[in-house]
Amino acid sequence: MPVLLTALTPNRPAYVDTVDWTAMSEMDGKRLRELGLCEGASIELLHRAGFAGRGAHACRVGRMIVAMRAAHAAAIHVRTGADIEGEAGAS
Amino acid sequence: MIALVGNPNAGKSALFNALTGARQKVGNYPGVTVERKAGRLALADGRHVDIVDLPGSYSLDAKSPDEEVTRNVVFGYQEGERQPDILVIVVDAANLDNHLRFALELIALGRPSIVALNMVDLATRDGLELDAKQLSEDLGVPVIPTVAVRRRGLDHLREAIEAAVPAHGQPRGAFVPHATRSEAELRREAQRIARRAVVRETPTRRLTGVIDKAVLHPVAGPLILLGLLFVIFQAVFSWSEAPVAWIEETFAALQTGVEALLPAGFLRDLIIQGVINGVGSVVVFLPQILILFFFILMLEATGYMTRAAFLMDGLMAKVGLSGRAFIPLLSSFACAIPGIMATRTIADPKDRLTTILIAPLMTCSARLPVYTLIIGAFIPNRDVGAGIGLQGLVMFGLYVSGIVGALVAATLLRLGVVKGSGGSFLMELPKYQMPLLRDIILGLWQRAWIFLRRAGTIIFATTIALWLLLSYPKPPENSGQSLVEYSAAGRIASVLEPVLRPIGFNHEISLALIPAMAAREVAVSALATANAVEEGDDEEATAQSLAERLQGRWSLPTALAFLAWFVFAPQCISTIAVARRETNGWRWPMFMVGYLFALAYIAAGATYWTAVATGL
Repeated sequence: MPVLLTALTPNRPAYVDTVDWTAMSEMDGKRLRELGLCEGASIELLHRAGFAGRGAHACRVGRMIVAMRAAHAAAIHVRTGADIEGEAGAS
Repeated sequence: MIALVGNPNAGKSALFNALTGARQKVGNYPGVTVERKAGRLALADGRHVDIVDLPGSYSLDAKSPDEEVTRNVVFGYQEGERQPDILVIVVDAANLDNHLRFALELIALGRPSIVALNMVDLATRDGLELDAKQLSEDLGVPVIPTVAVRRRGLDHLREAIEAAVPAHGQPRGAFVPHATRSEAELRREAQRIARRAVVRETPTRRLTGVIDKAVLHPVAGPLILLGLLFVIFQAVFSWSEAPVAWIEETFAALQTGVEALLPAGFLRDLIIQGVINGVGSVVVFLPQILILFFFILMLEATGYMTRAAFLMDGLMAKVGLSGRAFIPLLSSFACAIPGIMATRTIADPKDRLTTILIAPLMTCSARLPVYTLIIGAFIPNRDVGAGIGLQGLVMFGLYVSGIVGALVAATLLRLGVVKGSGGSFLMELPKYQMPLLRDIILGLWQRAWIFLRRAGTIIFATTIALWLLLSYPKPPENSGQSLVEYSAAGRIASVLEPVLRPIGFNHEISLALIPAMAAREVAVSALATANAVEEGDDEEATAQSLAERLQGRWSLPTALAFLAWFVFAPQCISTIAVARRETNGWRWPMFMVGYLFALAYIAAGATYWTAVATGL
């Protein structure tokens, strides 16, 4: 099951499943894609700033570390390796 | 002409420094505040070619003013810049799949291009081994592995450039652009080429990850940042003591030399009271400015600055800004001009405008002379407990007042005149790197030169003009009237005085505020010059320091009001001029001047009235 990036356990490798590009401005969407964040990209949540994790999120996207606000992270659905293996097993 | 172009954090500037050394010219592109860094590259065959370092960009689809410059230069649209003959595309070896996307977009323009596969050492450190030959075959252009900060691969890069530079008299080849591809196509192609270029990839314990665990920790991270800021501001004061003393001694020796050389009269007075006193009282702050810039350059070069932006985004978001605003605001502690220039990386126009409008509230180094003088004169040098000095505490309070003022101003601006969406925060956190001392020294030299040029031009001219205004016309002999009061400057100050009197400002302050419009620190030189003129040849009075003389002439509430004024007052013509250029008109700079003057007046008044009411 895809989960929101905001809910992903830190340091757990995952893949971007879908991105709700309508939840952000066109410019931010384009910048995110330029930073390598698009469907299929490997992603790993590294750090959450602030208390209760409501601050900016730092993620490894490919080989790059990208910082974004929680609002953007909440528009990104990710799947972990376990999800993919589970689905392969079920089929 | 060669243009260095590539993604941010690809190591372009380090490569530019390595290729050009000290043969650099730093200026601005006409009409915009985007820094233009140009230099000369010596080729092995004796030819010299111009080389320009373009601002980092993710694509040719520009989103911020500096990215617009990159696009315009590449296409040959940029005013004051020739279209480059060769593109040296700098890519981060450890971040190939991402950086190749922009590289492919640039190569598709059909220009002679060379790819500098930079920071290969860091890629190796991360367990990545790349095949430059394969990469070159796939991209169809030469690929040269480089480590700019260690000066590796530069000879090969020069050879490749030499081979691509058209010989003298030879016409430039026609550019044949390739078919344009969509963003997704470019991305897929970049990933495919990057995968083919990887020979081996072994997972390693990455240094960046280890450091980030501490510096981005939700509790430890902000504490480390606070600690760093504390160390920086401590160093600004403690490290500068010795060099400040050397500069003071040099100017004192100059004064003695001039006194011995020249007979008493107009020229001697002009040089001693106008030039040496005026310019000397400003140049003495060069060490503090350089120490602050040293730390800012180090934080940028190591990669920590973006981490600070990450940590600060939460606070910035609360006042309607983004974490990106932290970098220009921190630079504004050194000087608002580079601070305002650094806002060009903020893509959201309203975020950027708000950051520009509050940048002058950060306590720039030009205020230090004013703060140091008044605190030294009026605040007792005693401990308030736990080894904390009262003078330092007041200085800290002034810095905090500026920061709080800026945060409140940003909130109100975002709710009012700069209303808009909350902005966003998207940025790459680069890998940590050990900065190269040579690059830091080069950066410091450029900043020192800018400051000294300012001291030699604006400050020199205003102190001379002020000295003349303060010295003429002279009162009739035996009239008993004060020279300063009778002079032209004294009369101008008399016009201002009724407006400033209610907030505790005396005639002397009214007088100092006029030239301080040119640069804040001139307030000190103005007071020094006015006092030097007033005391004339009275040796006993001249022997007193300026601080001692002010102690006898100002009340404590007046001195505190003067400090409060300088926390908010927008007194620097250069800052206003840069704000005008950055906002493309006079509307916002005028607004900035208006709101900052109003704030300064209210703050100074409130301080004065409170101090008087409490019997200080």
